[in-house]
Amino acid sequence: MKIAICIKQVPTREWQPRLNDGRTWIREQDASYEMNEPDAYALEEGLRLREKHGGEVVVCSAGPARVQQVLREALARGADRAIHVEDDALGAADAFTAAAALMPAMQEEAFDLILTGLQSDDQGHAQFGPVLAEKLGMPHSTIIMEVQVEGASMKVKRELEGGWFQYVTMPTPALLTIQSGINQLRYATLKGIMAAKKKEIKKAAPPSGLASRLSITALYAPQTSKQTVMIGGSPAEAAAELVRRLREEARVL
Amino acid sequence: MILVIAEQKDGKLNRASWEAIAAAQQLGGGSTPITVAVMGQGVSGPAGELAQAAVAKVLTVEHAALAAYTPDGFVQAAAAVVGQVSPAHVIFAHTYQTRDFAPTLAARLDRALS
Repeated sequence: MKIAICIKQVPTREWQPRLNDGRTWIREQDASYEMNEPDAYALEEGLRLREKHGGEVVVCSAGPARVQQVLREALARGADRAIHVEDDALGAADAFTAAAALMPAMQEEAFDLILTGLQSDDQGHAQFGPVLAEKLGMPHSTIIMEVQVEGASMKVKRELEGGWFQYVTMPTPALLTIQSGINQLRYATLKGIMAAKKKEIKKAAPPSGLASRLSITALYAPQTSKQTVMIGGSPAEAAAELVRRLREEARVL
Repeated sequence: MILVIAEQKDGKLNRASWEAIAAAQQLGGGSTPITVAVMGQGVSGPAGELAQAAVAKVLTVEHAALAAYTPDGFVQAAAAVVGQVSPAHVIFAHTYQTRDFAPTLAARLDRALS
C-alpha cells in the first residue's frame, strides 16, 4: 500500500504569538515551529497501516525551506521518504493554495491512500484534505477515528456531533482527515534519527500561477474584559439565574 | 442573491440552519433576496419550517441517493443548485457535515471558502 501523509509545519504552542507590523500575520522570523498535531496522528496511523499491510509511507509538505525540519522528524519516526514542494510564499498559504501546490507532485505518485490531520493548529480552516481530494479526483472522509483496510476498500469510523459515530465504507484510492488522539504516537529513536539522515527528501517546485484566494486583513488577540455582576433574589432564584447565565451567556454548561 | 444551504437529517431540521439564515439576512442588509435550499429525501417537513423565515424562496432537492448523507452526493446536488440559481454568496451553518463537503464544493466551483 502506497500511503502519503500531508504534514504542515505550524508555530509551536509554547510560543506567545507576536504580530507583524501590518497586523496581518504573526512575526514568522520570531516563531519556533513544530509538526501540526493532528498531522502527527495521521503519520502514526500511516505507519501502523504500513506495518500491517506493507508498502511505503511518503510524507509531503508545502512551504519554505524551514518545513524540512518536520519532514526530517517524520522520517526519523519511520516514514520512508519525503516530498517537499518548496516556495517561500507558501509559509502562510491558505488551504486551497497548499492543495494546489502539492497536487501535481502527489498526482504523479498515484497513492492508494492519503492521510492528513483534520485541521491545522495555526489557521484551522479544515479545508486542505477535502480540497486536495477533489483536485486529485478521489473520494474523502473527514474526522476519522479508525481505519480498517480490506483489499481495495476501507471501512472507516467518522466522528459526528453529539458523541455519535458513523462507519463508512469507501473504495481506495481515497483521502482521510484524521482526528487527534486516535492512536498512541511513537517518538523518534536515536536509530531512527540516524537513519533519517540518509532518507530522500525530493524537492519539487509548485505549479506556476498559484494565487491565494483568501487574504488576512486583520489579526488580533481575543479582547478580554472583566465584569462583575451581582445576581439578586432569594438563594434559590439567584442559583437558578446563575445556572441560566452559565448555560446561555457563558455557554460553559 | 444569497443562497443558504440548510441541513436536515431524517426529516428533522438542524437548528444551526436558522443561524445561517440570520447571517445571510445580515449580509444581505434587507435588500438582497435569500434562497434556502434543503437536500435529502423526504424534506418537505423541514422545507415547510424554513418557509416561515423571511426569505424569498425555499428549494428542495430530493433524490434517493441523498437519503443518507455522503460528501460526493451532496456536493453534486449543491453544485447543481448553485449552477441553477447563480448566487453571489453561499452560506452554510458550521456543522460537521458542512466541514465534510463545503470545501469540496468550493473547490469544484473554483471559489474561495471561509
